Amino acid sequence: MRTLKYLFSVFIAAFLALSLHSPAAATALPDPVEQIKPVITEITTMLTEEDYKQLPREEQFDKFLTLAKKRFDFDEMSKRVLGPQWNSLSAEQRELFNERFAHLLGYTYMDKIDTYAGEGIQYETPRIRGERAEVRTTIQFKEGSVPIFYIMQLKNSEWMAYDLVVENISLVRNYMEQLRSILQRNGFDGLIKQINDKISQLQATKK
Amino acid sequence: MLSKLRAQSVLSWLLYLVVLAAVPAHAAAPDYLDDASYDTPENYESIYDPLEPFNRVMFTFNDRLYLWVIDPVATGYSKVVPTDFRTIISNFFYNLGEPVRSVNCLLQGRVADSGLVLSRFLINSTAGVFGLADPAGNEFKMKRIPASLGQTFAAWGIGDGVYLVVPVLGPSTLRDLTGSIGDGVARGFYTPWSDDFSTTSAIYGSQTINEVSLHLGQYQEMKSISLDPYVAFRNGYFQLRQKGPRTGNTAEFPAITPPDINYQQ
Repeated sequence: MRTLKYLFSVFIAAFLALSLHSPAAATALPDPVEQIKPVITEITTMLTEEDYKQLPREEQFDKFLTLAKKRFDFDEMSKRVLGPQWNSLSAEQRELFNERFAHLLGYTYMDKIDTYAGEGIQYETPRIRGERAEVRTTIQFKEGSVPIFYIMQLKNSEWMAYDLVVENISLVRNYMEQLRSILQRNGFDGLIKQINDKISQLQATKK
Repeated sequence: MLSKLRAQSVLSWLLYLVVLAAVPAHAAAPDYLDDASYDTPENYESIYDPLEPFNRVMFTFNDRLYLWVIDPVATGYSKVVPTDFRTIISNFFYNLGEPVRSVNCLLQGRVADSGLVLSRFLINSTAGVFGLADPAGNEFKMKRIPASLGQTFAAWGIGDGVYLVVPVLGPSTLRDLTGSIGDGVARGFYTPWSDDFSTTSAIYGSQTINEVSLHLGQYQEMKSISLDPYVAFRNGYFQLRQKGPRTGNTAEFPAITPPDINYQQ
């Protein structure tokens, strides 16, 4: 009888220990919102500063890109956007594509949020599965609100975004389809040329 | 004679649907946390675009129409008519579509949604003064529920057929164009102006201008970031359709605006 009681208490103790342990393990994952929010705040604050607005567009972009790289994984984006084609590229080609694509996507994102004047950004509770997270935000503009989702991956306890879903359109998936046909038609050099042309267009427009 | 004609046309429609049904329907809303949504993007299987050369010509036509006619008119209109008033007009047209949406929900087996849409219609038509305001959404927190005949066809397992860029109307598929026409005809049963083509076109035109005036600049923005705008819009169209509560199209008339891009979750 006594041994039974003893066994029972051991069992209860073990159960308690386990049940206490598992939520602790779950909270050990860093919160993606806590990680990305400061960077987005930094970027949006910078965009509203007068000094920044006076800079030439290319310098604006460099500053923006430096900040964005803290939470945006452009390598992962490039890999995803090229899909299977990525494997057929040489190391230099990958490097070149990374750098150019970061510019293209950077301008896209920067132009999307650069009319922001501090009206407010809402963050929803993130959805996490394994080492992936989806952070849904709504950015408020004078003329209405725009939903932007950040799709992130855990790398060494850092959440890094690898896709942007703007107004329900995933930019990585959208570019992916465009790039595939361009790559088929014009090859890698043709693709880089087209991206470069686009970047210079984007540099020239606005302000 | 008339009834015989009608029976014949119903029969030919049914036949047409059977032909469409040969192409299976596709894919649920994407889950971005799932790598499969990137590895096998919707375009591998379901963007069937054998008419691409024709579609590209139509895309260019719509692009010019948008940039040269619709956008300037809408811009001028937006300067003259205040935003509140434009929202009212938009609400009015949206409310007119609610009965058709309700029936579509029912046809898809979404009974609860169907009731909600009908309640929205009743509340907005009375408390909202003929649908000019949206008290159902604002006061009763009943969100807009999209539903279209294209979506109903999808729920029945009818595939998209081919991707189509329709002159004036914009991106669609054979199934969804059929659905849009069906929805338009269904609306015609209770909208008094529908027996006259020129009046219908005028109403449709002003509705388009009104919608565009509420989303000025979005089309140009999307175009400016794209390497191949034709492919970008095609992909965007399919991505937007996927986010609906069920498979299939939630985009509705008017479709020339970048498909329902300002949709709020």
